[in-house]
Amino acid sequence: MPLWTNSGGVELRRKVSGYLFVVPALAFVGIFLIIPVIYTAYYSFTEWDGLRDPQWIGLQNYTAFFRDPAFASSLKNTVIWVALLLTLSVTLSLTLSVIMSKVRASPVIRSAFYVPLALSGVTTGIIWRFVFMPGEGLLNSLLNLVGLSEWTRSWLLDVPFNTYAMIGAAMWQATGLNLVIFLMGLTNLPQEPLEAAAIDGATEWKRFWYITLPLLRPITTVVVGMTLINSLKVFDIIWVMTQGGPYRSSETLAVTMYRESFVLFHMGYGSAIAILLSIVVFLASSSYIRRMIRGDQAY
Amino acid sequence: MRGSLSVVIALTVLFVAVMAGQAAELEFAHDKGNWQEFFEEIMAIAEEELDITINVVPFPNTSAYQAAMRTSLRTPSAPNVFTWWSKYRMEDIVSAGVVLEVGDVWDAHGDAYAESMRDSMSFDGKVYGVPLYTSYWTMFYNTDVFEEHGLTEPQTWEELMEIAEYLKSQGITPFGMSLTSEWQAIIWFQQLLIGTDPDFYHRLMEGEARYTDPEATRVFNLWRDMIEKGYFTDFGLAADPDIVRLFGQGQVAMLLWGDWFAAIIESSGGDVNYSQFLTPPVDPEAGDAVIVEVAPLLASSRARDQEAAKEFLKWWMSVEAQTRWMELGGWISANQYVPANALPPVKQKLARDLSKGNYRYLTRMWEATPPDIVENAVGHLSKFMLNPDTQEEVQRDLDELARSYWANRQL
Repeated sequence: MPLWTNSGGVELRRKVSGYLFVVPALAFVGIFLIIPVIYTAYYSFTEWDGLRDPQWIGLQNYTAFFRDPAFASSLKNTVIWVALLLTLSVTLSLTLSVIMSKVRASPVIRSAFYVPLALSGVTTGIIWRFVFMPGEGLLNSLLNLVGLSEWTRSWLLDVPFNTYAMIGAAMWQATGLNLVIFLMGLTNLPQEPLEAAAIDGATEWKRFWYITLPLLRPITTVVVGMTLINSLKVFDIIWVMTQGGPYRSSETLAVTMYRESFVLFHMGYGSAIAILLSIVVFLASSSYIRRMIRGDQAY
Repeated sequence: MRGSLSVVIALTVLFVAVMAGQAAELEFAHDKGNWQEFFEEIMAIAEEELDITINVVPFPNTSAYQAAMRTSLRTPSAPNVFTWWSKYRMEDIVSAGVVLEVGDVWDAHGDAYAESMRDSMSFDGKVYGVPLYTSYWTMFYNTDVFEEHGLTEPQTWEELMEIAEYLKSQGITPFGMSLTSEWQAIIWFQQLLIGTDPDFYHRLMEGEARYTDPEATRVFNLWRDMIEKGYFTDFGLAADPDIVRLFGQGQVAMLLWGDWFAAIIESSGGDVNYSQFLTPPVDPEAGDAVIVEVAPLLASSRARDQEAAKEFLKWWMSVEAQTRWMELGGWISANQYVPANALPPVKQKLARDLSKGNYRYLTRMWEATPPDIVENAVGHLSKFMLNPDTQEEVQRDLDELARSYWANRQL
């Protein structure tokens, strides 16, 4: 009797073939994500120079955080990045998207806002280095032009302006993407509640605050969640613009992690920072997203 | 049965014969992307001379190279020969036992190389590398600017400072200096140290002197004075392309830099006429001293074909190979029997100047002191350069950094 006439056999084959289809993806994730994460977690409890065998030192890398002034300043900078990028970029992109959905801006103006989203962090960093260059840099030239020459400085070497300057560059880039997502949300909003409110005499501002904004909530969740994660793990822009300097003053956790691991070859300590950063990113994003989803269900 | 046995034996003999006749295959790894062509060209000559095959493997950036090499050096699949950094930058891989000792390679060349060169690659009396290139840290100057203002190469420190003062009064920045890559903070620090007391420099790098000692304080004071007089460009300008461009335009007159910077001046400085002089000592009694950056070629002690790797290194150090290498890259060979006439005129002059004085060669700070110190020290030095008022704090921090490293040093 041929096997395929047996209905149980077909069922089994279907199941097996289903798993077979998943295997490549699982293997990919396993090899390139899960195994490295497990190794990183292990190395974070060791002292390792990447050359000799790792030496188990327990929690020493984690307790070293508290004694390391560079770590403290890096943590502080990460908080500044998250706070500023989150508030400024989300507010700016929301405002711009509302304006652009009301006003028929020409495609040239629109694309001026969109273009940065297509650029990598490295390219953004290089472009903005020209803006913040001392002497003939764009920003300094502008300040000179409007008679504010006493404000000119070597932006990327002047603490804490270097961090603010880089946040400005990152904001320029992040706003493009956030703007597109907000615009998508705005064009897909149901028009009926807005029209009803308009008939009832609600002002533009009230309609925005009480109807548009709550309806946009799922979109805002995505934008805030993404900006939160991106600002926590920011690396490329900083590495291109200041490399965390001068005197480690503009490092964030991701930069400190890279520096410890691949410049100083303190692989154990670098791994501990990586684990800590991952936990922070995971906790911050998951708790935020979970709260927002729960909030959605309450509506 | 017997027939099949003889077939196996015959095949084995044939296989061994073929393998024995096959040329050794070496892998050569480096992170100097812009020299890939030079390497390919010189390796082609080596292949012919030594009857071996050499695969040149370039890495796109230094961090990726170091990380990849550290992992592969532990294994038999390590590249046979690879470029590296001297002294304390190679100490950890030497102490991990993954680098081949090459004393016999050096011995084959007798007195062709200076003893100090060998020292920069030696640990506990054993040498582990051969020179890939040597770069002298000298003063590049725009000859048009000097000519236009009737200036000549300074013979003493006082003359150099007079030139700086004069140029400053003419609206020309005397020295180009950048901090956009923080390592550059070592450039003037090491120069002022060797200009005042080369022995102190050596002891400081080895952890036998302190960053708070009077000799160090004096250097910081000298440096501070130069910064406050406005002798340097804005540290926020990048060496390449900003400062080089200003140098080409004659707005900056001098650049204290490694020899290899000539290639950058020629590519980014426009059509500039320049030459080099050796920076005179601050104190004449300190004697003539120059900072040298020596980059070594190392061989793996874990890879196969170690004898072939040694043969290659022996050839590399030869007059013939060094002459060709010098022609390709334009740097002065460490082999003293290599005729300098293949060099560009500016380099020939430098070679003559070096042979005139009784120069003491001191390893660049980047390699002369352990990476854990210098990688952090550049941050402290930058802080001082950006705000000389932090001098005391910076000296204290540097002292603490160095002392805690040497006290807890493990290998």
